[in-house]
Amino acid sequence: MDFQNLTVKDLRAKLDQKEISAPELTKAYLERISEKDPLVKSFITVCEDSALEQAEAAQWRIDAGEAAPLTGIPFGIKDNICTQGVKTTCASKMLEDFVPPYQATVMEKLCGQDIVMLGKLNMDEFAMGGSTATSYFAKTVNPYDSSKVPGGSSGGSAACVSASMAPVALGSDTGGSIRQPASFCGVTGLKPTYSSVSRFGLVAFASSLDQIGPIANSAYDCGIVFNSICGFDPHDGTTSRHPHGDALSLIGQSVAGLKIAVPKEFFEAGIDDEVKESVYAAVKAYEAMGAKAVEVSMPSLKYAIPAYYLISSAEASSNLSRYDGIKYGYRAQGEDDYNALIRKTRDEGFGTEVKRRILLGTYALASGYYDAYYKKALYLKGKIREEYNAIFKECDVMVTPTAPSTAFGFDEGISDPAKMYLADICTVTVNIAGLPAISTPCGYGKNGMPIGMSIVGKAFDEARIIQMADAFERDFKRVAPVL
Amino acid sequence: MGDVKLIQHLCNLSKLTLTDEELESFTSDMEVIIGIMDSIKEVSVEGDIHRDSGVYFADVRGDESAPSYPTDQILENAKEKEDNYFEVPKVF
Repeated sequence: MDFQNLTVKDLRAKLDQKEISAPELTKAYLERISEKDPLVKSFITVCEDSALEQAEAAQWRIDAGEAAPLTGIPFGIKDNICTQGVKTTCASKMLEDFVPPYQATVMEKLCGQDIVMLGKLNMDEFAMGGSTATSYFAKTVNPYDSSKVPGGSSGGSAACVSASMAPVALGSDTGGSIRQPASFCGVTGLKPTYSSVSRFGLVAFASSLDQIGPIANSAYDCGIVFNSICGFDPHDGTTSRHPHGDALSLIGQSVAGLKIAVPKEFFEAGIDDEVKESVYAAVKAYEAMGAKAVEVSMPSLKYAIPAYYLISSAEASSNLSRYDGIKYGYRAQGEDDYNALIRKTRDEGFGTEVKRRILLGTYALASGYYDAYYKKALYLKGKIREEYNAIFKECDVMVTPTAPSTAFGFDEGISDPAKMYLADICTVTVNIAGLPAISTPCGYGKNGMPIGMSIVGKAFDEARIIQMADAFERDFKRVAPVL
Repeated sequence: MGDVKLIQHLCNLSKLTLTDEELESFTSDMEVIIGIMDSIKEVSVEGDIHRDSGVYFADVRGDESAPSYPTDQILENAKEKEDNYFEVPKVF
């Protein structure tokens, strides 16, 4: 089977036309995983037996003529999304043995369509990082060059799809964790509008920013998955009752006449020349299709990194206080004092980056510092939202680089926290403003590594950014990874 | 913030214990990180801080009872338990 760039859309047709059965398809992907994953290391858990059982159930449904859009489609799932009866580790020693007694809402929805879950995917510990190298379990490598990171935190999801070990995966995005690894691994990733996808069962990092979304081989596939996972959820009080239309409704329509905002600050110092050139070339391609590019400004971008890190770390320090070794998760041994047990558990169970974020968040919220940091970060959040709103009064979408560079090497300072934080500059404002954005490949660097561009849309306008990404993807020739 | 005492204070607040080595490296890391965060100090706050936060709260659901998770399932992930309880060291 030729796996390269095989889309969910293609597979749906093959399954419905009985060119391949769901169990055959699942076996093919499981074989691919056993061949490729010892090199890529994208999976924390492979669910061979349950995947084959799910594939049988899916085939019954297909044979009965009752297939839903994702029935029988093999998925990889990021390991911070709770899967009932299957370990959900968050790539942390803290949750190494945690088996959720419930399904995340997104899993309820996908399993309701009889998808096949191939396994759980590697990530930065508790989704804190942009390299997947902070995982407690393994270092996932970039399928284009094993000396380079896959990005993060959904690095396992992006690498797995890039190396064709699954046609689609779920990731989560708090500050770029779907889009940046999609960019690094040459695939498409959608971060939905905040509140459109339920976070129930997503292990919390920063609750006002986290969103689950798909990583796939095309914008179209991202739309199929988004249609299946969005919507109000009584288990998540922050989900919107917005009536989500069909995210694929604009596919194939002309982009002529649409206005593309190109914010100058996203193309200034710190962004590699080859990235700028590729993204500008993509804007030119849209202009050739009849769209109009408009240069705009987002002055608050220079404060985006501190605003993001203060808000996300403050929320993380609160969310991660639940890990005490008592109710679930890792428990330290040899302490017979309650507080000492909690401290030792947290010291042994959390990795360095997680501790660093907890300390930063505690600092931002601590008495004496709150006004200077957290309050100002919230003010900037409002300001950044206002700047986006003003731009979207005039324009339909915004186009920016997804990351300042192509994937960096494992030896290029990934343990330097300041360097890593600053590398998130192109993605964090979208989370701060709660907007949808999709990253799709738009070029390759001199070293052959993929370059991604992000198309940002108005709140709940997923259909527009999917249409735009799809229009570009139709003429863009992807280069296959080496692994 | 390159202040060991401050890091120790934050560790106390967040129930973390660092080794001497960790304390040293965290102190210097945090100094650099806080340096990045400090740029927002130059921003002057005008108007309402909590305007349009972007978090959409759906209607509050009704106060209705619903089945809970079975006790045995909830206890399954606890490392130490006795009967229907989580086991903890003496608190006082």
